[in-house]
Amino acid sequence: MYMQPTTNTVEEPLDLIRLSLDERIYVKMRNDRELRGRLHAYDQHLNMILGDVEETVTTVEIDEETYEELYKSTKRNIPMLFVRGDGVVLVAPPLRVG
Amino acid sequence: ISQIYASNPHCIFNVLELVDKCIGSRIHIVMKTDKEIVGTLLGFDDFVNMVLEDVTEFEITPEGRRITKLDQILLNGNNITMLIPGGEGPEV
Repeated sequence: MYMQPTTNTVEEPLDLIRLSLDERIYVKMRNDRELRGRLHAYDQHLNMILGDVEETVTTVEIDEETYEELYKSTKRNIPMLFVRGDGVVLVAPPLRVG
Repeated sequence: ISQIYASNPHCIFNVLELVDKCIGSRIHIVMKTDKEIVGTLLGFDDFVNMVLEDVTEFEITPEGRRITKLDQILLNGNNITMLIPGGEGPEV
């Protein structure tokens, strides 16, 4: 479990994520999931520990008769969780509205 | 390890160390498919395969069906999406 000493410059993509440590971030995952939470830890696989998280799951229901698409999102709050890196699509600062 | 922490306040913390702290407690595991597992974490490996005890398996369907398994299971880490320490599972 060797911890690499860190530099202060941005040299590779993971360094951009390092800048977000202890900040709130937005994570888009596979299977129509999104997370917004505080980044406590991450590794080279993009496994992450997030705190104070809001999870949003989006589903599409199709009406049998009209074939209309109804988009629904379900949110839940989770105090602390571990995210497995192979499900992560993107990591960004939280989206600002307006 | 403590020397490296002291000299580098902005170290990357090993994510798996934090999962290690959950050993012995209840944990709620969300899979990539519509399935969630709640159990007591006995251990895990570098690939996040997990050994769990006293396990309840939830299928996330409109009815929220539940299957209860006891004893121990080895859960393949390939299909895990998230781990929630202390979680009780989806609301049924």
